[in-house]
Amino acid sequence: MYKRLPRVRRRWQLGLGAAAALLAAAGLQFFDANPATSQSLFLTAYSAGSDPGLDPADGVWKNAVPVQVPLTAQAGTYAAGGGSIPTVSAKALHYQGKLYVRVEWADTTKDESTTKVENFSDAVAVEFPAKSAASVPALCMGQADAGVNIWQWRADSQAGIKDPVDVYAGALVDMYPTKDTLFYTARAAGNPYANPDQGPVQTLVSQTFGTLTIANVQDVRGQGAWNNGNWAVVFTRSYAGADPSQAAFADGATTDMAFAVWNGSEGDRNGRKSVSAFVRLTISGTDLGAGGGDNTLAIALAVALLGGTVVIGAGLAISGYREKAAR
Amino acid sequence: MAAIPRQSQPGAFDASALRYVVGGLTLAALVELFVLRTFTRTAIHIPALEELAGPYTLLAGLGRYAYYLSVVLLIAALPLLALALWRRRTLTGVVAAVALTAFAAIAAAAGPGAIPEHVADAGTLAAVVTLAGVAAGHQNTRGALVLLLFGAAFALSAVHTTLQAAAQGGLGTIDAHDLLFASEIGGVAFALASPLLVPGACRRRTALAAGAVALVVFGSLLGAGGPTTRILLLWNEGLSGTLPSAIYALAAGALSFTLLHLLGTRRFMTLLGFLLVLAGGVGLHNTYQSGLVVVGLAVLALSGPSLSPALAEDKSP
Repeated sequence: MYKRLPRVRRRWQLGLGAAAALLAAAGLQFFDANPATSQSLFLTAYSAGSDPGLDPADGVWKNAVPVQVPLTAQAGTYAAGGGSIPTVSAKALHYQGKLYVRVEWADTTKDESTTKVENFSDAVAVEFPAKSAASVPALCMGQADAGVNIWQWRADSQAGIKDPVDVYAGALVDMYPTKDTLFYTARAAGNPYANPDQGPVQTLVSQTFGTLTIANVQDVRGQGAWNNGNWAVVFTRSYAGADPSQAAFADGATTDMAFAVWNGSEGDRNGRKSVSAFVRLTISGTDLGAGGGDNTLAIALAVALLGGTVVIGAGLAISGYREKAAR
Repeated sequence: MAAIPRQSQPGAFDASALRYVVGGLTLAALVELFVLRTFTRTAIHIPALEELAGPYTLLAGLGRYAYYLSVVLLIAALPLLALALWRRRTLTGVVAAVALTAFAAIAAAAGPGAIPEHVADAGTLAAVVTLAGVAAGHQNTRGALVLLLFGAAFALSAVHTTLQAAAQGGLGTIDAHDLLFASEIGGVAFALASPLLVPGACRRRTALAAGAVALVVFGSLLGAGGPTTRILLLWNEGLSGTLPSAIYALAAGALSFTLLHLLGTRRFMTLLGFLLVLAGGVGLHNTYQSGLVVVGLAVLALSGPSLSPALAEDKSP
């Protein structure tokens, strides 16, 4: 009987330990107290000394530090393809209450015409949680209590609507008797891509898969440039969102941001694209540094990390092997 | 779970508590992985999901609860594992205990922003590499290769993230995105080599069958385009899915074989450690997933052939 006492006590201890763990977890969930911290990629938007404007080649961007974001194929319930662009390089700045985001990626083909039905446009989009989002939204078009705001730039929209005779050599087109919108059926139906005044950027909102639509207020501006096999696109918008379904920003605030890239020559369109996971975007009150390209510290850190991991890992493995052999 | 050893003498280290905590942590982390990180992220694609709002909300709540339970058990496991490793009174044991303690301190300090992000990243990387080295040193040669491959894949990805964080902090920027591709290869190589952890592998028909089924299922998912599978690979495991689909299918088959073989040969602690490493994934995501990797590697360090009697279960040379 006496021998059983420690075992009974141990069961009590285990039971109490389990109950304590279950209660502690319930408490954390109830108070939404998450002790874990994100260690994913992040991007800091420093304060620019002058207006970066829409030109991706503007000198002010040279001092902004990029983050390289890995992409993968688009999620979907069917084979959506995508995934041909492996990474994007993103920079961010802010100036007088406006956020500027510059996205750059390698693409050897400049696909900016969609007049032929078999042609598709290069494009890029950034996604933010809506101002009204109660939590971090689902990356794929948000969720009911946490919508997303998407800014999409398209190369074909920037290049403008091309005349069919420019695309199909030798084609004959009858003269249109009128310029009235009624005779441009897509424009008359409200298709924003048929509107020559739309500009290259659309701002869209969504609250779950299948609910993506254009926002009531189109206040995001953007411009892209293709040089030597690289696209660079700048987006800009004022901090304040037009309505709760759009993103809002503030000095010192942190939000999430995801990227999507369409490679037209690979047949990317709609859901067929390369996408990233969310990275964090912090809008810093600090002024953008002078830069200058001194990367000595970064190179030293890279060498130390890579060399250190090899030495530590291999050294401990050998040490442990010797300990084992000595036993 | 393995049979609980009897307490030997008053004051002796009670390994049974550690076994229960690690077992509970693994179970909770797997529920969190499959329900919260996988199901809720893919369920939004179900047409007319709003008609299933009740069951969906219930399941998502369960996933969130499993996450918080994992966090609690993770916090409990760190000091227990550090104590167990310290009590081995060997150089590697002490170093591993210090690495676990350092990781706990880093994770605690990173939350309120008490240390710069790149310092937290580098500290986590050092802890993972240290524990991978210690765990590798206490496996046989083939098992060591598997764990070193994981350590290398994790390190390459984490170095990329750390350099990016350092650049944002003003330390200068270098183009290091090739590290991600190297990490991808290392991560897949780790999975492909994982059967080396289990000696006499080919004699286990059940494990072989499970591996073959996983190969076919995963290969089918990826072969059909597999965008959902690929993005889940990125989100959950830190792999971007850029290599040919067949390689990932083989890797999934190899992992399934290894897990089933460990289960079949009753190497439960090694199984739990391996599952925790898989639940954490490759590279830096958050301190929770890094913690799963750290704890998983510490369990593997404790469950190797040369262990303290507390958790030792593997008798292979």
